Amino acid sequence: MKTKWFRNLGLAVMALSLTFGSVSAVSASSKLSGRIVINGSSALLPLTLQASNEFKKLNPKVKISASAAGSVTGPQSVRKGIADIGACDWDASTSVPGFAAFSGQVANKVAVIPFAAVTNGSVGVSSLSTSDLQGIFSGKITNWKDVGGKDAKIVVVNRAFGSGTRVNFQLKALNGTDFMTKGDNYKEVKSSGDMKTAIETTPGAIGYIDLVYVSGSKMKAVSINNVAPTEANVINGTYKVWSYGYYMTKGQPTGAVKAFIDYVQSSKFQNGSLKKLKFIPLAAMKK
Amino acid sequence: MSMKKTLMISALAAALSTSVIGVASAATPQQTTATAPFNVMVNDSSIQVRSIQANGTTLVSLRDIGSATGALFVVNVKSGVTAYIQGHSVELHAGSAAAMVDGEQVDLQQAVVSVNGSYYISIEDFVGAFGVDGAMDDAGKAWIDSVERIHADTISWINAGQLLASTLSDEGRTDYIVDAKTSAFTKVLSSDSASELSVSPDGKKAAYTDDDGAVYVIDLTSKSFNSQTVTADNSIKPELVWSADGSAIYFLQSDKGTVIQKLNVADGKLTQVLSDKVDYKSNLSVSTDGTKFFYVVSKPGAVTADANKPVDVDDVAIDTTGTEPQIYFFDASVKDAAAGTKLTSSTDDKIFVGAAADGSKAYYISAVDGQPSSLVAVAQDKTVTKLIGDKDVLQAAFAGDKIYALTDAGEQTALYEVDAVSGTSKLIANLDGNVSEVVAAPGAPAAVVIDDMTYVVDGGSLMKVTK
Repeated sequence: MKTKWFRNLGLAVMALSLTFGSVSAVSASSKLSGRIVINGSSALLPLTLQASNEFKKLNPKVKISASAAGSVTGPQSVRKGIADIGACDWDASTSVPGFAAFSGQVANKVAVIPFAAVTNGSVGVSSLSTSDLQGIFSGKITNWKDVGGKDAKIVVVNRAFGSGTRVNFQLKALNGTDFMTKGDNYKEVKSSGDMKTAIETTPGAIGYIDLVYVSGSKMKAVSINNVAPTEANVINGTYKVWSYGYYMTKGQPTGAVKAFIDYVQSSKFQNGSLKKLKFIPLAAMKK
Repeated sequence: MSMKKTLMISALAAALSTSVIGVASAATPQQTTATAPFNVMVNDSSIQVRSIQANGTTLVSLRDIGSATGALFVVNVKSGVTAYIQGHSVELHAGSAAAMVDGEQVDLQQAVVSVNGSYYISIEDFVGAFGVDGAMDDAGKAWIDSVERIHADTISWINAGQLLASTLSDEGRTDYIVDAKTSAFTKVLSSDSASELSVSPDGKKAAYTDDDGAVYVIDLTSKSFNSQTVTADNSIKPELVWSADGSAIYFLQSDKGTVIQKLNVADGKLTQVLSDKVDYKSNLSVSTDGTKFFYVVSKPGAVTADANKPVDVDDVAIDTTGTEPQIYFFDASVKDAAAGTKLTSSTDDKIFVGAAADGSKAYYISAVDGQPSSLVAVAQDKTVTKLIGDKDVLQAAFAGDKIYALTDAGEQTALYEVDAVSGTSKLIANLDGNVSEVVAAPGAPAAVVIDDMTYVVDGGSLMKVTK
């Protein structure tokens, strides 16, 4: 061979650091291997699957299986030892209304998720106060005219127990007050998709949903205390109904699990696919 | 001096310890020889500089080698020299093993020596203090590279002579056009809300989405890189795929990627190509005639959980059977076609999926637990053919009828070119270092990313284009 292609790693790395700094990349010949099982939040599932597609290109020996059945099943699966990562819309290492802390688990932030109170498009209300919401979701306020809307019966649509969206809405929109649990004007749904369908097709309905699902004229996202549920208002701190999305792990993550979480937290993913899926990057909350 | 720089200087010294250029203690009294010519490669050209031997180490003229790399010098009142290179300042003093780089001290391995008013410095110290790239070849010749380049976090070809390079940060992204021969770069877009740019096949346009999902197209041929809104449609669009003629952009719509949509660039009209209620499509490829679509479907695992049981019972079960990604095909030219056809059902992982330009088959890397990964083609009739089956294939990039593949070659990474039509493959290069990506496009040479830097494969050599 006439000339061997050569490169002096020490020199190259030094030159880089003296100028702009470096961004780490995983080698195509990465020997990282293993299987990662992820379960939990349905809101985080699209993000997880997209990250999985991208991560496997950097680590072709790592297999990833993802599933969703509600946030609480994430830390439950980790505690039971059937999942490596529990995707959850709240920090399950701490206690929240209805759920004790999952001790020994570490909450790894991966995204910011805004939530919105949503109504059927015909109710005639554009903003509700915290007090209004507490009255409506507890069943004490039953007609839209009592909160400035049309003379129409209110139908409360709630997410089933175990939903991360429900936990966050109760904590941050209702300040921890209880939901009504039964009655003619009460429905329970199991997913964000079902919530969207129920709100769009039920006259007088009110519920709550990830902001990403809000589209079209059949469903309306209402302001809370006159603050609109927008990404900008989440970032500037005026809109309070949002949460970090977490990957719960049993202790500090290691190996392929750590590498996967690192990838989801990387600038490449946060400012790339995560934003395209309409989550808010973690770094946006630090500004 | 920061610990980071201390460690890097140490690593450099260790890396060069077996070279012809030795390293001496800065504290050792200097015994120098008369000046002699010394050959060094600077930016791929051989130049001759003055040199001396000091305690058995070759020191080169600071002015000679600095000038060759583009540095400007100012002699200051304290008998020192300050050099300016690529926006950085380097202050050196005779008899001192301390350099001030942008006001921060960097320790040198060897004190700078002054002979008849001229400063001499070891090459490794020059490289470290001046922030240029350096290397030693097998023959012991030093190579220095001082061409100003950008760093790229992502890279793709625009056409045979230009690449699109992007730098990423927590604040957003900046995209550049980079000349593949000179490394010269021009900023195209800097944004905290734009997605990555998807370049049209002719290299004249690039598309991106904003935070709302609206689609914009940049004219890459205009000096100001004019951008126009194609559609304000705010549905989620995880990936944009250009039609071969650049008239349309295809995308998988919604967070579940359920629907294949076609966006007409001229008027923003959206046309539904496929809506078969199959969720989690990804890696969309479209044939040249725009009728044949390949994509991957990822099926989530099935979970059973009884919400009526106490949480601490952990009554959860996950069935991951059948969650491996599968290749699907949809032929829009078939009248009343309403659903994609599942081409694969194997339990291997399928990554780096691409398709033949004529839509006859899809290509992918098949990864099986505990076995080398192979490069595979699957035809519309579900026939599976191995294109590379005797090596561990790590990556693949598609360029018309060519596929470039990276394979594990022990301490090295091998780059192969595969003729997608005949199935034959040939070795292009064995690459050292941390090879993280091969970049390809029809009509363009292959490029590889090694240690975060992009190199264009040019015959028997690598030309660095990003740092």
